[in-house]
Amino acid sequence: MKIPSLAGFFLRLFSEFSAPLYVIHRLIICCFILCQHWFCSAQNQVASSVWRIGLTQEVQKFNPFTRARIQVDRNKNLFAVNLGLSVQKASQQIFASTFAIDYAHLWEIHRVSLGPVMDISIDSYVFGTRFLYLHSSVGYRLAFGEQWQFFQEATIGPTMESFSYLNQKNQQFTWNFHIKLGLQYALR
Amino acid sequence: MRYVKLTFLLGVLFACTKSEEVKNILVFGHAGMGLSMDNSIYHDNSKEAVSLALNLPTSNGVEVDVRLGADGTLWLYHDEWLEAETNGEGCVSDLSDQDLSNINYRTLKKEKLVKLVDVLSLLHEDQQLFVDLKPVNSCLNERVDFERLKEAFEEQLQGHENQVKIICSYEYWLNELAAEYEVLYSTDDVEEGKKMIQKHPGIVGLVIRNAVIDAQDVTWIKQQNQTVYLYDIRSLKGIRQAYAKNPTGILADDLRNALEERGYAL
Repeated sequence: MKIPSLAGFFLRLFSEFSAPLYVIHRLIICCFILCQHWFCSAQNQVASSVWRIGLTQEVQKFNPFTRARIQVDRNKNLFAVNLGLSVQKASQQIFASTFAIDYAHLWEIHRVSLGPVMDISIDSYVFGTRFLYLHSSVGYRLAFGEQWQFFQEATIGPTMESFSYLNQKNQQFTWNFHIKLGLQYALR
Repeated sequence: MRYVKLTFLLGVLFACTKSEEVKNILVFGHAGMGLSMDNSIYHDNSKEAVSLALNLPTSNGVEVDVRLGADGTLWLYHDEWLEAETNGEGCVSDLSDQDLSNINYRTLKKEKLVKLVDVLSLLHEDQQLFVDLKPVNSCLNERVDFERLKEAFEEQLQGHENQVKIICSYEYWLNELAAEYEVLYSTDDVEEGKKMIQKHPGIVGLVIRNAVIDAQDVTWIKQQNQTVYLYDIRSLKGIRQAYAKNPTGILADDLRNALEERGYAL
């Protein structure tokens, strides 16, 4: 099997300049990977990690989602994995699941932390056919507190909606906003 | 304790069962995927919005706003003035097909104005198109020529007559239109609507704002063997309120949620 070079990988990622939202979608994914501390090994520092678990509620252009999250704080870098569902869709007897990862770099002033955040998420549900939504977005996060932490996040970025029905594939891109409120508890 | 569990289980079971009445309500996209809706993705009355609305699973069709152009072609456009939403100026009724085909909406996607004939071909076999006639040329402050409008319909419906219903808010056109097509009277006044049903038996029903009509009036209209379609339904709460009135159909601004609230099984 041919192993693609890193240059070839990035060239393919940005080959579709005719679709700007698609390119931005991929750019945010690349930034997300590049900004991880494990990707830039020279930046690794010895520091203690704090693990947090919590709940978030997100409002966006399409479906609102409630997620459980687990976050690890290392230095000023925060990385979290989220898993959840849409309560609104559940009330319509549709199971809409979501998976999201986010990365933030926060600076702390007294007990308030503020910094940029990047989110990538995927959500899906079946209504006659499978609907799939891919989101990537960038914005800010504001967090208060230590043991119990409340945070608010607002991001903006492209979303792709796709579904196939009656042998017709439907795919559309749009700008989307994401506003999140969350509450986390630190596991020491 | 056993009865409590049983009651809870039955409660859950019935809560998860959608009524048969709701499943029979027809759902149409208002102006494609909704008027000024965040989640519509495309501008109202654009070809892209109509196409997406028709391709959603279980969609019964769409409603579009139609104006007569200077060359006698029917174009989709909601507002009175072109400068309100597009890079054009003036009124649809005063511009030629050439001019109108160069106009696009002021959105990121820059959707173009579209002719009625171009969206008719997007209809699936079991779907319907509601054509909301806009009878006034605001630039000249006069009604469009009815004879030209009738000619345009005869020429441009292209064998889709059975899939098209016309929504008209101008009383004096009702009888002539009803002789050729299925016509609904559009009003925001329930009492006026009831009078129109009795005065013009040729029409097939009413299109009326959801907020101004209650379940009793909907039932009364259906008892007269007329259909009733509700519009201006933007939120999930509004969709549920509209379904509770059991109308013939709704013109939903949030089409995805309206279809999903009704359920998949038809």
